[in-house]
Amino acid sequence: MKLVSPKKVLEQIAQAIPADCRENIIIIGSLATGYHFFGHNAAMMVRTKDADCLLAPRVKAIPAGVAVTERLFEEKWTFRPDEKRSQPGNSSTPDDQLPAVRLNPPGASEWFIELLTVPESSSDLAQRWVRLETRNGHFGLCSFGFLSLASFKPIKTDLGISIARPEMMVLANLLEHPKIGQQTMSGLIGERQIKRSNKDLGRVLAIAWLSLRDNEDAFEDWPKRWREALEACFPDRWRELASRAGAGLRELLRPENEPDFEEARHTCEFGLLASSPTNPTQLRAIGLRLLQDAIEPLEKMSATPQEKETS
Amino acid sequence: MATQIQYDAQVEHPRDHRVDALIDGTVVEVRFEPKESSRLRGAFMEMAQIAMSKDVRSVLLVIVEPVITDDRIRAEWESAKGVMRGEVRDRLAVVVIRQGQYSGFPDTPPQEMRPLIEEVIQNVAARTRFRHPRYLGTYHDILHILIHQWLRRTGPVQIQWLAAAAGCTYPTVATALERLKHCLHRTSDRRVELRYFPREEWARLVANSDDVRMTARFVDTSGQPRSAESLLRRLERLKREDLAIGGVWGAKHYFPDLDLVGHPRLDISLHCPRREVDWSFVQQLDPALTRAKSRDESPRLVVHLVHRAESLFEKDKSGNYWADPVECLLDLHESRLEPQAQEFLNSFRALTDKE
Repeated sequence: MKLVSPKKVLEQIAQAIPADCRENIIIIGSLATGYHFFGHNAAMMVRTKDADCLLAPRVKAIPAGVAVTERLFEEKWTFRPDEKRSQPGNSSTPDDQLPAVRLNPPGASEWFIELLTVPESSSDLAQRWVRLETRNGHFGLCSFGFLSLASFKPIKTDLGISIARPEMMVLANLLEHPKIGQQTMSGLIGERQIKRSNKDLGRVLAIAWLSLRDNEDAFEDWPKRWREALEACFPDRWRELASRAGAGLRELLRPENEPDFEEARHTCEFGLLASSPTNPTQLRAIGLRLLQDAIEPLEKMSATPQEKETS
Repeated sequence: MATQIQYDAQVEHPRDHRVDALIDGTVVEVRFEPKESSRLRGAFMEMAQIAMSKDVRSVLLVIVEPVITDDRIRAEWESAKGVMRGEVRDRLAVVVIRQGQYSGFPDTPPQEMRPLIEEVIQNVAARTRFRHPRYLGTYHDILHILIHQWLRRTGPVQIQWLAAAAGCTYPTVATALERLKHCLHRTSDRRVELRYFPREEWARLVANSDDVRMTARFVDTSGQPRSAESLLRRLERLKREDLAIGGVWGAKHYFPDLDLVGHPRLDISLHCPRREVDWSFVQQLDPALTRAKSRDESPRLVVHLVHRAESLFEKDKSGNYWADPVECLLDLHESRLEPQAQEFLNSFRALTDKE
């Protein structure tokens, strides 16, 4: 993974995609976080390889996906092959074998754009693929898990595209990992094999750290916003989701899970906090604050019947 | 000049040993409630070693509320003396205190020495959390309450009231008042008040404030310390009657014109008359706080324990509790804000004059 400037990458994406599709594009992940916290500073870098672009709402995802993909090819963006797929699919490629839209910008291979979309139904959190038929071949548009939270009330940038709210990415990652799973990332991070849950929960800690750097009481608004988002995205089961939001983080912070915590810290050092390294004690303290100020109040809300606010 | 007491002082012998107190070349060591002869024997031999230190003139062992009999103590002492060299033995003395009654050998200590011995006992009791009610800093509590009444200009108070406020017995108050008699005014109906601000006693209290109040400092571990303002907001939300705001905020509560800008830390007074301290509120204020390992670390939160029965906390209209002005004054001293402490003291009296 290379160090890239979130500001420069977002400018390049915004410039390349059709103007009428920009409002359907929400950047998520480390680039969105980087842009939110230090987008004003072109010298601040994050270490990433992909620019995840969420297409939302779902009804506009397919036309927007087609338009964006075709425009990027016109602008000389190139298909990024992986181990399984060396070129775009065609009409005979089965849905579940379609390659994702992963395109490198012209003349640069250090990062690529990847298109995703939000799940069709709030009750379906499984990974699903929907076919994108473009002039340049067939692709799959992936949706899964809690991506809909990342599309909740995104922040519009001056570039015309939006970025996900940091606290919504935190919530999505927390819910995605109610426990430390065994699945590892396909690639190495900082020359180490890392569990996916540790990487994502590490991102939670990194966003929390950056949020507190900007505002020492940043977490205090989060439970209210989280509840609003959960009620909007998962009206039938928001309480159940809210009640387990902290499970994975709690597990990560347990002293006996030090090796997992260290992996999470490592991903921060090689990702969002590349420019502001933190030690394990500091990161753990931030995790405890997040639990206390944001997660526990949300859990409390989930247990309070019919009350709008407890804080 | 107040006699200088050096607590937890280092001596030459035994190597790396720290004595409870050092007063003008006299080492004072305190042993609470010894139950076994062997423990006393060890203490006597340790005294002999300490006496061999260059700068030590004499060594006084204070045995507080022993469980073993005086005869047993004396027998152990005689036995220990037998193996000591004369020039060492002659520099050692033992004081036994039972129910406030002093005895000792070779001699019972003179009356004028007792306040100093009491002070050392209270200091060591505070440090070691010795729980005998007689030695829980009551002298300082009584001094504190009297200064509070003096600042507030509440007039003379009854000794029974003082005993109830401090949470001690009438004789204990009487002993404390005896020590303060030079600055006391006693009325014909046996009430008391300070005639003036007792600077020497105050200086001693300030010097021992950390131990008397069992001050605990907490530092940030997150690398992003919470501001004192943020900690204060969280404290207010806890709505606890036993936690009061002190320090600079407290001082400004009583004297808003105090010449101070900014709050580098939050001082809290914790009322725990039963001496059982539940520190969980610290984590509620900020889970990133941890106990400081040394005084050199810059604390974000400082907690002072208030052991007396009456907290003297003041509740405001918002439901917040404020540490009493004497507590705030001690906090200013503890923060090395000496000019502001002086300003606060002077202004407080002037302010109550107007009222």
